[in-house]
Amino acid sequence: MSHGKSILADAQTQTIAAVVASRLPMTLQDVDAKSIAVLSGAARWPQRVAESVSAGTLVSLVIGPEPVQVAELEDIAGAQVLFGWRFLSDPALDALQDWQSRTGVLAMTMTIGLLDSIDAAVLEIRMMLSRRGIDLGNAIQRTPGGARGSIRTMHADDALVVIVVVQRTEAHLPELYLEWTEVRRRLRVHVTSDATARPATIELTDAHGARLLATNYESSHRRTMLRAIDMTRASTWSSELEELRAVLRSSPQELAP
Amino acid sequence: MSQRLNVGIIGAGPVTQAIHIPTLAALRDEFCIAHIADVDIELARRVAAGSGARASDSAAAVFEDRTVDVVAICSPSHLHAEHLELASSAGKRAVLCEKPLGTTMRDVDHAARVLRASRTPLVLGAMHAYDPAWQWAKRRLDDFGHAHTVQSKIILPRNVRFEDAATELFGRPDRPGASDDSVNARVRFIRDMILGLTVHHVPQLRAFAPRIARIDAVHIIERMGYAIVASGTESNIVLTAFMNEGWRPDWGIRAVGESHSFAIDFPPSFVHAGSGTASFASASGTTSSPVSESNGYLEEWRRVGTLARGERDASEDLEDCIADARYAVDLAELTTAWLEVHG
Repeated sequence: MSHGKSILADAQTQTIAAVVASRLPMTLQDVDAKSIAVLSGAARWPQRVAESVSAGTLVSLVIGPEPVQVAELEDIAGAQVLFGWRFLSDPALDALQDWQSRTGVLAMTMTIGLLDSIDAAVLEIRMMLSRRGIDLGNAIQRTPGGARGSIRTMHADDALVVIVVVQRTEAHLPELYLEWTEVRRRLRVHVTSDATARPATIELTDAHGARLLATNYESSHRRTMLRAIDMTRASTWSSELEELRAVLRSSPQELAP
Repeated sequence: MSQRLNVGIIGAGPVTQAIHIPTLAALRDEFCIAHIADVDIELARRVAAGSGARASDSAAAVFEDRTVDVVAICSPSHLHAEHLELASSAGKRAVLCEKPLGTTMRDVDHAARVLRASRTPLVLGAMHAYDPAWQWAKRRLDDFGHAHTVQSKIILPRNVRFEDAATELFGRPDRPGASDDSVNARVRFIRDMILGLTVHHVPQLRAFAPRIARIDAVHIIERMGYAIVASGTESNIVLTAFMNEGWRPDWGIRAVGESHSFAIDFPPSFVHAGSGTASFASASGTTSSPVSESNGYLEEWRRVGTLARGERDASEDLEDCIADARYAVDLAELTTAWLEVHG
């Protein structure tokens, strides 16, 4: 990269890496040039990870991974891989760990750009659900809806319905709305574009009022990069590749044309 | 202002008490409540007393009352088509019929024939159709183009909260308890929900998804409501309606196209909370409707007055009402057919 900070980036992620790195002048000082590779998540990203590992990189940070065949992950089984998810990596979503629910209606609407991948968007949503123990691979009903949108719904069990809408437009910046409505309470989350550091909105509502949680002006990219740096320093292990493998295994039909 | 129009109201329940009487009171220069009928004569008397109106225990008495210029049909839904026909035969100057116009396609088509033949001006009591925000948006729809995704969301606390915030209600009807989980019960439930609640969004749905091509999935959520996923001819449609115990209603429609999007949010039923808010967005910016002190109830009654006085051609409103009613029944019938097949 031209600014001389000590991370590598491929052609498609240079802007992201440069912006993030420019905001990390202190934390990057002792990271050497081959510690972190920032890679695009476009098709065949496992191949790029393998090449990066062969070149000696410690941590591969894959930005916006698209779905791949599980077999493509075999060659990088032992690699240190972190994923830069557009919305899931937003630090505000850590606050959702306290929300435990298996009832009601979970509605997720992800708005993406006209040229963005619907498959990648759906994969990210599957990862989000997987972290809450919900496998969208079961009992799924899919409405492709043409090139500009896609809907998936499922009745997870007798008490929970999940509705996923992915829509492409240039009328808005990319954004994610998550609404979880139960009989007595409701969770509403709005995560803004990963190109900004605007704080997410997380609101809990019940019969008595609403509580707006505190969130920070910190982008998902910055948070992911900090995690990658921590991994290089503390030699901690990322389980995200295994997590992704499990999600891909559970939903092979998502890869069908 | 010309002479006031005398209004006769059929049904003295919460809709009459919390919606129409306060609205007509606000428009007292234009309307006078003359006659209220309800099968519960004591309820009719109590409600009528506050307005100085006559009370009776039969709809026929209102239709036969020659002093009544305009009839508001607030009877149970399955009687709407019959009462519309009687209002037309009685030669009333205009009719406001609470939604739905009919509960079956046969009823709707019969009502349409009767109303067209008699040229009776009709306003459907679905307040969002007349909300100033939607009227503002309708004038701009020609520039919108195609929507590929349309989402209707209705999240409401129980009506009681809003009824009590609007008026001091006499004789609150019993709410039916939870029914069994048989397919028949689920079919009845979702049909009632569509024709009673989702029907409010039909003008917007019809604008952005003119035809429902098929139902893709129906999910009923115990004690709360439903989610329906459907396909229009060129769009994805998601309809959700839940009644929970939260304090805040959330009632709106979103339509998204490649280069533009539309959003509208409405106030809840029963309250006189001013207009909704609507906006069109594109990459170059967002245009929003002005917030109005008026609301859909006031505007639907103002439209009744305009039609009754012959100041506006009634055919456009009538054809809109009929098209909305057909769309609502079609949606209900497609959804129940899906449930009967898939359980």
